[in-house]
Order: sequence, then C-alpha cells, then structure tokens
Amino acid sequence: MQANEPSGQAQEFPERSGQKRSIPHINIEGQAIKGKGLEGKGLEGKGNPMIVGGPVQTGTTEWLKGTGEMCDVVMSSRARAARNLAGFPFPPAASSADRSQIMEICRRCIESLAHEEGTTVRWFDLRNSEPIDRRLLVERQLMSRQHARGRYSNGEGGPDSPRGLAVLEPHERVSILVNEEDHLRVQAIRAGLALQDCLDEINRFDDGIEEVVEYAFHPQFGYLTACPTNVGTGLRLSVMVHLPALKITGELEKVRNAASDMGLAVRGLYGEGSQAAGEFYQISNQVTLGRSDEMLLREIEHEVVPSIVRYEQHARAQLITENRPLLEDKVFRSLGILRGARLLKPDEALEHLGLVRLGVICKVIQDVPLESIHELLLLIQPGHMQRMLGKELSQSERRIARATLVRERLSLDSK
Amino acid sequence: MLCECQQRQATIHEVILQHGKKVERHLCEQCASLQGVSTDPHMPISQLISNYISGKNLSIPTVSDKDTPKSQSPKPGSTPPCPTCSMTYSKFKDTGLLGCPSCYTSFQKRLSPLIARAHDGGEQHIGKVPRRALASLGRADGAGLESLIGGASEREQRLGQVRDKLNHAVAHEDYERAAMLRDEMTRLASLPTSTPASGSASQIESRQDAPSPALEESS
Repeated sequence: MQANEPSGQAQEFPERSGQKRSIPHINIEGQAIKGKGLEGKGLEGKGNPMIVGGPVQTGTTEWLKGTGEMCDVVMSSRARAARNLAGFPFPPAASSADRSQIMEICRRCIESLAHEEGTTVRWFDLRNSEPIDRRLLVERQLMSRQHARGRYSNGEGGPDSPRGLAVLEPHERVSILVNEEDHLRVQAIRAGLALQDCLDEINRFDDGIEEVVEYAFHPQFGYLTACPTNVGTGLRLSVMVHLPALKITGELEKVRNAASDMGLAVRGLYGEGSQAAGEFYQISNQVTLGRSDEMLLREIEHEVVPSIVRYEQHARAQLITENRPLLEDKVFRSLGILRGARLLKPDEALEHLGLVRLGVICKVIQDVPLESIHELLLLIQPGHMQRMLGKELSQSERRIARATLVRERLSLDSK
Repeated sequence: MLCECQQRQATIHEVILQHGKKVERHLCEQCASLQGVSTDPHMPISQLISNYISGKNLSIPTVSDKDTPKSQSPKPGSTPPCPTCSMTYSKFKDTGLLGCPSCYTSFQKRLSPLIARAHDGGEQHIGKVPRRALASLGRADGAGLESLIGGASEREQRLGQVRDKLNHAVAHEDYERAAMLRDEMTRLASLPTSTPASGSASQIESRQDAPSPALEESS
C-alpha cells in the first residue's frame, strides 16, 4: 500500500520575490520566517515522509466502522477547526498566485507535523487530481463538495484553483483541507459518540501547525475566518445519528425542532444541502463565538445527543414491544426491495438500507451482518461504484450496478 | 379549548413574551408542528422554557431580542474599503465572505452587531487562544492581553450578564441550565488578568516548553 515516492525533495519555498502581489501591505515574509523555524526543531526531512498522490482508499472508513459509544444510534462524530494564516487574504478573495503560495506553506507545514506511528500522511494536490478521486474523497467524507469543485461561494476559483488535501491513512480519522473557504480546515472523525477524542486530535494538529505558522486571530472575534459565521473558536462539532424509529413513530419533527431550538443545525447524511434519506442526520453547532470549545462539547456530547439517542432507543423499544408487526413489515419490505430490485436510485437504496439497519439492530432481521449495510452506505455512492467497476457509468448504468451490488451483498447465499 | 384552526382541541399552550407583551397561543398538535412549535413530550418542560428564554428559537421573537444590539445602519457606502485588501463592505454583504483578516478590524463597527446576531448574542471569543497571539499581546502591552481574556471591567460586565441569566434560570426552575451558568461564572471569575500565569495561558505555555511525546517519536 505504501508508495515510496520521494515526496520531500522540493523543500524550498517557491520564488517569492518575483511574484506579483495583488494585495498591498501584506507581509508574507513574516510567515516565511516562521516556516524556517522548522530547522531549529529538527523536524525538517525527518519523521514519516508524506506520500504525494496515489490511489484513494476504497475500503471501509472510520465513520462506518459501527463501533464506539452509543453506536446503535450514533454513526460517527466529527470535529472541524477553521484556521487562517495571518497576513494573507482568505482563499475566496486571494489571487491564484496567493493561493499557490498559501498552499505551499500549508503543505510544508503539514509535512512537518508529527503523527502516530503506523500512520501516513497522503497529500492530494487537487489541481492535478482526477475527478473520480475528488469524488471518492468527498464520498468518504474527507472533504467537502465545495473543495472538490474548487469554486468558492463568491464565484471565484474553479477546478484548477490551487488547493489540497492531506489525509492521515490508513484510518482516515484526520484530514486537513488546504484553501477551502479558509486556509486550513482540520477535521477529525471517530466512530460512535466521541467528540472529545475528535477535539483532542484536532488540538494536537492545531498546536503542531501553530508551531510553524502564525494564525489570524483577533482579541474580540477569536480565530478569524473568511465567513463571519465561523469566527471565534472556528469549531464545528457534528454527530451523525440514525433515527429511523422516530421517523416511524412520527416523532422525528419534534426532535428536529428541539435541536434547532438549541441552536443546532440538522443536515442529511452527505452533508450540507443533502437530503436526509435513510433517516441519517448530522447534528452540529452553528454558534462559534462566545462559547468555548468545552461548552460546545458539553452541550452536544453530554446533553443534546444523549437525549436524542434516548428518544430513538425508546421509540425502538416501543416498536419492538407494542408494534412489532409494523416494525417487521417496514424492515422486511425494505430488505425485500433491496434483495429484489434491478434498478436502484441512491436515495431509494439509502432509505431501505436505513430501515434494514434498524431491523438488524432490533434483531428482527437475523441474516444480514451490520457491516454489510455500513459498507454499502459507502459503496452505493457513484464514485465508489465507478472505482470498483473500473469505468465511468451513466446514471442508468449506475442504477443497474447499484442494484446488482446491493443484491449481491445482501443475498441469502452470500454467507 | 379549540385550536386556532377551530377544528381540534388545543393541546399545546404556548405563552411567550413578545416585545414585552404576553402572547398566548393555543394549538392542536398538528398546527403546532406545522408552525414549528416544539411539542416534544420527552423534552423536560424546564428545557423548553430555557430554550425560549435564551432566545434560541430564532423563528419566534422573544424577550431576549432586546438584548441583541441593533444594527446602527449607517448610510450605505459610508464604510471605506479595507485598506489591506480593498474589500468593500457592500461586496461582503453580497457574498458573505470577507477578504482578509484585516477586514475584521476595518469593518469592526458594522460587523459586530451582525456577528453577534449570527452567534446567538455571542460577542467575545471565549476558549482556545493561539499561543503566539497570547505571547505577542502579552509582550506588546498588558491591556491587549487583558482585553483578550477579558479585562477587569469587561469581565465584571460579562459576569453580570451571566448572573442575570442564572437568576432567570433559577426563577424558572431550570436547574440544568443554572448549573451550566454557575460553572461559567466560576470559570469567568477564575480567569487570569494581565499576566499569562494561570489557567488556559499557563497550559499553553507549558505545552510550548515540553515537546510532546508524539513529536519525539517521529524525529
């Protein structure tokens, strides 16, 4: 799996003097000097070399492991910190040359970071990457759709806009987005309810990055970000929950309302703007200013999510004891569709996989392993299907391939 | 009592304070859910109340509206562009994106109320501070650092706000929230003043001095 590319060769910063600066008065030298601090730390060229490019993994990934705290309801936890370098324009307003320079600084900085033994940092230069690779990285939740497109919400940028992604392999628990809406977005994912672990991990990387670069920070507004909705801690904590029983008992809206009353956003499985098919939801904070990391964490990890988990567990227990025929009907119908369908749309597959997952967890469905469902949640996505089959597929071809894949994985004689 | 729809019995009774006046609403469950009024039976009533009181339910104006600062609404175009990156305020209004870190200072006056509204009234950063910012502010002048972690007067003001919220929570028997606010008060009161000698500051300092085990492993 490990490609021994000599990635750490071009260690020097690109020529700075010849570059035309579109923005006056910004002192880039300040950042460059910080970068030189590396040598003093004895980090340069040491540690595990960063691997550049190469294949995106397609096997199962952290957020689908199905383990961890409250994993019957909580799929995964994720924390993300938005950070920007002092003295540089934010990526959406930066020129392409600025973005290249920011990217180079960030790449080198990431290269210098210490990380766990047995893990490797893989760096994707998204300018030169295949669209299919970008798609896979999005589907694995290692980066945003916006980062794949490279186009900022102000219309700037595009597929060739200088930007990158670092992924800590093989677990894919940490990824660092360079030149998304902010210079750096550090993300950590864990299976189950484990926001504290995610936050600790982010802080480790955040502190490491700060050894090298200077962050943009304001005494009142905290960490500065391109969009003022992220200032302060720059921290987004989100938890993905699976709430099929609440959907069946008709109580889902109440939970959604309660969560939004608490100032939390509720989104679909595949992130911003996506539909919540299969009753997978991401619950995340919206406020980042005026509340410390600990306060946010306590609110979500110890108050909101556990109470949502209890509602869902209560609804499941209620279905099992008081309305078993309804539960069985729902989950076996879905299993029947997945085992029989010849054409499957993504949302439809997701919806039925969600119900089959409920059936497996409630021990109503006995002959399907939970891992198969989790694996399918990843594999039914277009990028993964195309990578597995090794060719590009049209939408109708994908529906056939998806149905075939699901049928195979859930068939009675596959075990 | 009948619901506003005049079809079903009202089972949800909501009393909110709107612009200082008490407004009562009586709804059936269907109408309530349509109108986004939370009817969760599992939700402790104290929590429901605290949500309304803290103004978290943004769709319904509550008493806390008067706490959020009103935009001073200067005439359009009166804000000069950011001297560092020449971003204009009107362009920011269009895209929602600022040009560079200096924009926050350039547009501070107009941004402050906007940011407070987006962050549920949050106006002052609390939490992690980059070590470098802490060090440079401490070196430059004590006042800088003081404002960062809250100077004496500012902290007093913040403590007062939290105290008010706490009293409110206690009055409404929301002890869960009250406990949280009490913790926050304790934390605020124990923050260091102008020297980074205790609390979060010293944590950051010690991190700098002792290389972490992870760092050593890799080298």
